[in-house]
Amino acid sequence: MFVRRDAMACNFALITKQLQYINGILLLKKSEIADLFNELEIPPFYAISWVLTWFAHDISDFSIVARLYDFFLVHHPSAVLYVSAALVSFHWPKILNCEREFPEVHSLLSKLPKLTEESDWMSILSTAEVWMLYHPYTKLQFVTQQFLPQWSSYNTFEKTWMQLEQSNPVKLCEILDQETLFHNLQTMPDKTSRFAVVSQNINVAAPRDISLITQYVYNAFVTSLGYTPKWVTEDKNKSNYKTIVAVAAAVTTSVSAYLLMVGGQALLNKGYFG
Amino acid sequence: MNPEYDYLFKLLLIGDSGVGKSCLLLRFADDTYTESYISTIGVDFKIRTIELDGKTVKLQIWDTAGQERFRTITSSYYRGAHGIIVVYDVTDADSFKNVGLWLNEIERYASEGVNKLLVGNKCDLSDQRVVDFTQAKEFADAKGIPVLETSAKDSTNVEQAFLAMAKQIKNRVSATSASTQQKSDDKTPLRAGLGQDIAQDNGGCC
Repeated sequence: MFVRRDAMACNFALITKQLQYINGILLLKKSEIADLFNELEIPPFYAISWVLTWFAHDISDFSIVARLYDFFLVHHPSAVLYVSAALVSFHWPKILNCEREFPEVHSLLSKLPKLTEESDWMSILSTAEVWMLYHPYTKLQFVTQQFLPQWSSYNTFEKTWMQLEQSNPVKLCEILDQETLFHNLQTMPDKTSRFAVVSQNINVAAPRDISLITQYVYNAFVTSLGYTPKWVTEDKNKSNYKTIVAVAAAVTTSVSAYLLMVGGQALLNKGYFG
Repeated sequence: MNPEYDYLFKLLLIGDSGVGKSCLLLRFADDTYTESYISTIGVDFKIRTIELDGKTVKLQIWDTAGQERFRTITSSYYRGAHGIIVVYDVTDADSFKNVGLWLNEIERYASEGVNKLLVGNKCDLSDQRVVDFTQAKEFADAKGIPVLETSAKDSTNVEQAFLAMAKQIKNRVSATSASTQQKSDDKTPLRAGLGQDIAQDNGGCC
């Protein structure tokens, strides 16, 4: 729930902003695609079912859907946007071949998940993961000038994850300061909306033991490679191996993430984003 | 690629969730029917080319999500539609009651002078019917909109509904283009708000 909450709100205010980030990612990574979309005035709504259902609405092959869900479950809620952008970018030659008209391009875009082979998804996922590291959603907010409220699951995700404790379920009102939370609720058009009820009762119970975290990082690592490397699996006697790989991956990931954060902050201080 | 058609019309299907918009389109474009219900998310579109009075008409039909929370997204697709088909379910009184609301949406978002058509779907379910045709006809006449009852399941009137819409638009468009003499000089004829005759040799790539 703390991952999917934004997609379940009574309107699509948050989702619409998040969809804009797909254009932001494309602008940073594949500006020619962003230019084409701009020229043809294609709104990012082609991706709405991807974001709302994590591609389950568009792909009938269960094993692919399961693979994608694995990826999304071990990543930040914004991961689906990077996968969407990477998917579009992967099919760029197809888009180029298509008639340069809004309906044709829009229709092709919405069919992309169906046109993608399982093996191609692996490379799309690894691309998405790299992009996610280099261009976190916090940066995309500046690029697209679309800012998410504090109570968006994008902003609460990390805090919720940090506080996961089986014996002590997390409530949204505990993560956010009361003022922010209630301020936002009061400005909602419908005060008695489901949101208000739901936000008070979000209980996230999950074990926060080392094995889960190891599993989390290990999955993330293998997912980012797109396959399980031979040297991880070949020696089954060494059960510690998995843990070592995971820890190594965790260290590398967090160090690079930290460096990126510092770098991002420095850029921000220099007024890079205006 | 030369356009292999004389006219291109953009149609839009709107109406409450579950009235059968996607089924109507599936019947018209692919001549198939499915009982399984998969809610449309966002928008979807299909193309079918038809012959009308010796002219080839390409119909580009956009199918929208009926659920309330998609309203803001689907409304951005009204712009540029030549014809809008409002669908209700003859076995669901609420869906008929909401037709008025859908007409308001058209007023608010669609281009002026857009052609409208009211369609009561699921007319095969005669024992569950709650909306009489006379009732619908009265309402539609008051609004000056043609009305039709269809069944996507046994394909009653489906073809006729889309043909009627295409005919209406063609009449309107040929009337305006005859009076203004505006023809194929326009480089981007397909995206314009009004349908235009593009029988001349302009076209896209590939």
